[in-house]
Formats: sequence, C-alpha cells, structure tokens
Amino acid sequence: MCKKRGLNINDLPIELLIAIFSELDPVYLNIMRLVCKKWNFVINDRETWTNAFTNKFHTPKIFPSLSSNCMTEYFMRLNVAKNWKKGHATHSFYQLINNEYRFNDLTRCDFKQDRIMIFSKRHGNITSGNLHSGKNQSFIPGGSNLNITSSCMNGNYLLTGKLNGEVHLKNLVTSTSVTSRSSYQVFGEPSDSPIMCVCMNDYPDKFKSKVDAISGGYKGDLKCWNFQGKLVRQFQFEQEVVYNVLSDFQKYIILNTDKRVVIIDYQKLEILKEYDMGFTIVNTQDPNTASYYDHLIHYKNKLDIDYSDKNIILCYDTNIKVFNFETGIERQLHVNVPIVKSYLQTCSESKLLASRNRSIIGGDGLLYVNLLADESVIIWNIRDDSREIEPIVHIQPSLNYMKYSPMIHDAIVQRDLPFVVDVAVTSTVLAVCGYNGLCNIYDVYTGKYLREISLKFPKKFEHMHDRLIGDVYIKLNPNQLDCNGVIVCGDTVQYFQFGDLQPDTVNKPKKQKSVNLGIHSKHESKKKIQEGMDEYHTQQYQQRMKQALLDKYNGTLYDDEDEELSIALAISESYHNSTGDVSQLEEEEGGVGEDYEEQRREQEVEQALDEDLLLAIELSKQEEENKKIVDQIINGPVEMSSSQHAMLNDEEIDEELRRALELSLIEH
Amino acid sequence: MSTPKVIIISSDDEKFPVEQKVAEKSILIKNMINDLNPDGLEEDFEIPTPNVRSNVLSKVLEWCEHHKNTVFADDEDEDVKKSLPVEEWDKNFLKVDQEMLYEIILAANYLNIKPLLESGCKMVAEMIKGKSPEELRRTFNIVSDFSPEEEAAIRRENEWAEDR
Repeated sequence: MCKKRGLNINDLPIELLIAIFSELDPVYLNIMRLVCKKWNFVINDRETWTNAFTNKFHTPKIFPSLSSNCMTEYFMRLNVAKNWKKGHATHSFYQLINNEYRFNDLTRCDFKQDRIMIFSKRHGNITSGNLHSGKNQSFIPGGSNLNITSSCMNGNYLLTGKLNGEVHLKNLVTSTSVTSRSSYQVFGEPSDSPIMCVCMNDYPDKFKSKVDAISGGYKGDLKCWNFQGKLVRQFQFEQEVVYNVLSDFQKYIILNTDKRVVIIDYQKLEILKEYDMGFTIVNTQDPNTASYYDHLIHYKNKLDIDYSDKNIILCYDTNIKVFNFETGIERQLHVNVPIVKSYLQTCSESKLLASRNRSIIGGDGLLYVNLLADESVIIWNIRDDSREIEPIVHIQPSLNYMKYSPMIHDAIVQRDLPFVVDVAVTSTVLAVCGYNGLCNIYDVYTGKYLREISLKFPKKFEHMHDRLIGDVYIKLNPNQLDCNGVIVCGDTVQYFQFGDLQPDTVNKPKKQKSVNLGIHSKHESKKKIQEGMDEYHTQQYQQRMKQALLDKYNGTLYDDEDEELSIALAISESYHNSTGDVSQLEEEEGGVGEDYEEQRREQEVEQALDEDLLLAIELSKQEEENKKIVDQIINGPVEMSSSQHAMLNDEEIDEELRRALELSLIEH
Repeated sequence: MSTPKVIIISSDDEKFPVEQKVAEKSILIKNMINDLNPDGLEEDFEIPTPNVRSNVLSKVLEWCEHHKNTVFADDEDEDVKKSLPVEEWDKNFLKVDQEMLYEIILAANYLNIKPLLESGCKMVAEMIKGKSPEELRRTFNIVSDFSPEEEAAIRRENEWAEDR
C-alpha cells in the first residue's frame, strides 16, 4: 500500500496523529491548529489535550479542572505547579492569645476575607484574627451554659447543638468581648434527644422565614428551623440516630442515620429518596458513661456531598461509599485498615454547588482524600466514570520528626502514635501534616514528594518545642490558583505562601480590616456593615434599572406592539414639545423608564449619557428637517401639523434614539 | 537441529528469517505464534505482513534485533516512561527521511511494537516543536486548506485563550 510517492504526515491515520501531538507540550498545540484543517480537527479532539496534559502533569482523564479553556488550564496548572514546587516561600507565625486552653474543635479559615476563627466547644469561646498575620485578634466568650455536642460556624453565626436537645444560634457580629450580653437565640425546648449534628445556611434568608438551620438528634428527630427560631418542619426516624445532616439550602437536605441515607427536598420539605448505606454504624460504648455522646459523635461516619454532580460520599470504618442520587449508581471501596480522616478536595463553593461542566478539559473532576490508620493516604476522584472507586494514588508519606526535634520524635515513637495527623488536598497537591505542625507536600497525581511546608517554630513559641501537640489542622486556600494555607497547632498558627498570590486576593485584606469583629465598637462596625450593604444595594438597583431601561429601548421588554407604539409616540412627542429644553426632555424620558424619578443618583451617573442622547436627538432633528424639505420638494407644499408629522416619523426617531441610547449605554 | 526461526514475509514477498525472541517484540506476531503453536515452536514458522514493504520491514527488524534484550516498562508504568526523552540509539536509528519515518510508525502500529511507535511519535513531535504554522507547512509539505476567514477565526480564539 505504501508504494505511493511522498507519504505525507497527513496520510497517517487520525489516531496516530493524536499519538504524535500528545507527545507535545500543550503550549505548541494552539499554534499548530493553524496549519491545516486536519490538524485543527485533531487538536480540537479532547483526547489530544487530555493526553498532552497526562504527559505534562500526569493527570488522569478526569481531573479537577481549573478553567474552562484548555490553554488557560494549561498555563494555570503550569503556574500553580511551579509555585508549589519551587515558589518563593513566605511564612508567618502567630499565637491566638485568647485560646489559652489550646482546644481547637472547629477551625474556620476564610482566605478571601483573611480571617481565621477557632472555636473551642469545651468553653464555647471563639478566637479570631487576621489569617495571614494573626493581627487584630478578638475574642468572643462562650458563657456558662455549655454541654455543646455539635457545632457549625460561618463568618456571622455560630450554631451549636446541646446535650439537652436545644439548639443555640449566636450572632457573632453583635456579640463582642466588651459586652457581657449573650446575644444568642435558643431554638426548641430541652429534650432527652441530644443534638448529634447541626448545619446552617451561610447566606440566611433576609426575612428569616426560610429554613436556615437544621439539627439532627439522637432519638431520630430532624428539625428544620428558620432564623426566628421557629420549627418549620420536623422529621422523625424512629429507632435511629441522625448522625449527620448537610444541605445546600437550595435543593436538598441530606442526612444519614445508623444505616441509611435520606434525601429531602429542601423546597417542599418532603423525603425524595432513601438509600441503604450497606453498613451500619455501631457503637459499643455503655450509654451510661459520661462521655457516651462525645464518643458517639467522635466515632460517627463522615458525610460529604457533591451537590453539583449529585454524589453523596460516606466514609466509615473501612468503608467508602458513593451514591449518585441522580443516576442511582453506587460505588464503593473497602480498605484494609480503618479510615482516620476523610475530606473533600479543598475547592471553591461554586465547584460544589454549580452544575458540573463535563465538556471542559479534565471533565471537571473532584478529588477526595482518606487518611488511613496505617498512615497511608489514598486520593480518588469522585467524578470519574469508573465502576468502582479506584484510587489515583496510594501514598505512604513520611515526616521527618528527627530533623524537627529528637524529643518529639521519641515521644511519638514511645507512645506508638501515628506520624500523620491531618491531610488536605487541592487539585494539584496533597498536604500531609503531623504533630507540632510538621508538614509535607506531595503531587496529587504521582504521589511524588514536592517539598516541606512547615518551618520549625521560632524560639518564642516554646511550647511547640517541648510538648507534643496533636491538635493539628491543615487548611489550604480554596482558590486553587493561590498556593497558600495555614497549619493550626492548638493555638499556634503557621501561615505559609508559595509564590505570589493572585492580585485580587492580595488587595482584599486591607479592605476587610475594618470589619474585624470586636476590635471596633459594635456601633462602628455595624455602621460600616450597613454602609457597605447600602452601597451594594444601590449598585444592584442601578444595575437593574439600567438593564430594564436598556431592555425597553431595545424593544425586548415590550408586551405588545401597542405598547411599543405608544412609547415611541411618547418619545417623539416629548421631543417635539421640548424645543431643546434639557430638563423637560429628561422628565419626559423619565416617564418612559419605570420609576425614573427615584433614580436621581443614576441621573448623575448618566450625565455623560444624556449628553450623547442630546447630540443624537440634535442629529435626528436635523435629519428630520432635511426630510421635511425633501418632502416639500417632492410633494409640493403640503400643510402638515407638527404632530401629524411626528406620527409619520416617530418610528424613525424612535429608531435613532434607540441606537443612540444603546451605543451610549454600551460605552458607559 | 537448530532452533526454529520465524520467517516474516514482506508485502513484496521478501523473506526475513529471525529469532523468535526478536520477532516477539511485535505483540501481533507474538500472539500469532502463541495462538497457532500452543506447544511452542517446533519448526520454522512463516508470517506474512501484507502491509509492510521489505525496506521498512528490514528497518523494523533491525530495531527489534537491537532491542531484543531490552526490557521495556509495563503499560502500567506508562506515566513514568512517557516523559522520558527518546533513547540515543533510537534517535540515530530514526534519523531517516520523513516518508520512511511515517512508514516505520505505520508498521510499528500495525505490528503492535509500542516502544518503537512511541519513539517514532516522539521523533515527529520533535520536528513540530517550536515552529510557526508556516514553517510547519513547509516542513511537512502541507497546503493550508483554510479560507482566510477560518484562519482568522482560529487566531482570534487563540488570542482570546492567551489573554486570560
């Protein structure tokens, strides 16, 4: 067959061209599209890109995409990988001074607003400060009525479930260290069903009427509250314990009991589906011991939800299970040793809530990480299409305690403690963290060791050197383009950053400083917040009005032709009546746009626009006059009243006006 | 009696007797031998390869001969292997004209000789690297079949991608 003279590269079958192009660095591919149609076709093939990415980044077919565009994805990955590997490192250390007992039950790191909050459920205290520097620290005392069993926290509220079945909602904006007033609301009456889990909406309903807080109890009671403290709906699961509940507060409420997963429609508050978990959460503790409920909560399963691809992830003991509640597909993995910790990939909220975009390079995957009792770590992709869960990597990380402090090393070995305490994963790296904040970074796809994150704590943090601190958490920035994070060891925090941050995140902290809780008086911060909100609302309103106006002039918003005609008439009439009077024109126009009167502020903004408008009108006026002359020439002197004339020409003027407005709006 | 040989016959009927070990670098041939001789080779075994010309086949067999003792990494280790550059010997071996290179790639694909196919692809990729579309067209003797509008559209897409 190959007798043909001059065998050309394009005589190769497509799959071989894909094989060849896949060997190339993705940076060349875009240019190569210009060579000819065949090359363009081959390069537009997803497989070429996927293979090229595999060559460069060792990514599997489906991986957590950073961008919707192949090229952008490539440059972002290149940059992120470079930063994690060899980016210039910046570290800062600080101690949260008020967290004297060093209990850390809930850590919340907000990288966007540069804020860290640590909640201790034994004392109910919250300590907060700037995330990257530890400055502007503030303290919210917990009070006396404790016995907290479960909790969740966002920037504005703390929701706690109590042993006596009550749920407390604390407004963190109005409670400060200065006032002794405890600004919390109590939901429900004391009962014999201790709260096992709580969750709340980060963006609660303004009118406090929708379900914004959910609690699950020991006796199988699931309660949906609004922020006024009203019980909106209660579900009862007899003979079962509600261990976990989560919700996106848009569509679904998902909970698990001892043996099943239940999906509830958030809007209708009706049970949609149920799945048998395939395993049972057992509990051998004697119910009469004091720590019974703590024990229960400590050893319960982990529940995570990927709302965007509709996956429920359950991890318990040696079981990992994924239910897809759209397709009904169940997948699982049995590991040989118990699971110690389980986390979803650190990622932005929208990745979990917005719908998955399968068509982009990488297929918009999502990773999950499990730390096992034998100190190995497995990472797998929730959204890959395999029939069973297949780990991408299984790493046995090693942390060099000897280098850090022989004393710490000996202490761990003597007590036979695990070396690894916490893990976190992003779309690029795995962070593995041990006692006293020792931390290493690994590549997610190859399991290759990249670098050590942590530094030895400076001398002034003496307790970090002579004592074993196991209360360690590592948090990475959900913005996958920034290579930074914090290691929290009890009350001591190590912030690290590799390479430069994205510009918009660098600027943010400065702005946010003023909103820090407790530093300023309540009044001042409230006022600031109010101002911010007002400003935001004004902006929103203006934008909306502008949109409405634009729609009107574009004719998209007209209900029918009559309305269009009447508006066109009104405009042309106003022009004829105006005789160049600016204010009148504006007023007339105001009659056209809805509630124009209320938009005095907008008018200021649109002054430039009005000038354009006037110019346009001036032009159309001249044109009209020309036309009149032409008409007169053609038709001879015909008597025609001004308004009649307007009737004839109004559409033309309308057209002119519309175009002018459109132009100036776009420019604006 | 000497060990039986595998005789590979090219499309133009030339016969190439080779050791079994050499021939089995080709997974296609290896499978064929195993399927047709479940008890092992007892006598010379002829395999026709109607897709491969004699000059290409001799080149491919030269490669197999050289690599008869090379152990290639398994498919599972592909990730590690893929990023490696082409081996020096292969590089020199594949310094042939383009037409020959394509024919070797086609033959390696047909005979299922993965490492050779990969080296071949890498060699072509090497030729593509860092060239402008015009240079690429000249190098590979391709005539652009884009209309000016289509070309402009792709350029716009590219610019858009790079701006972000």
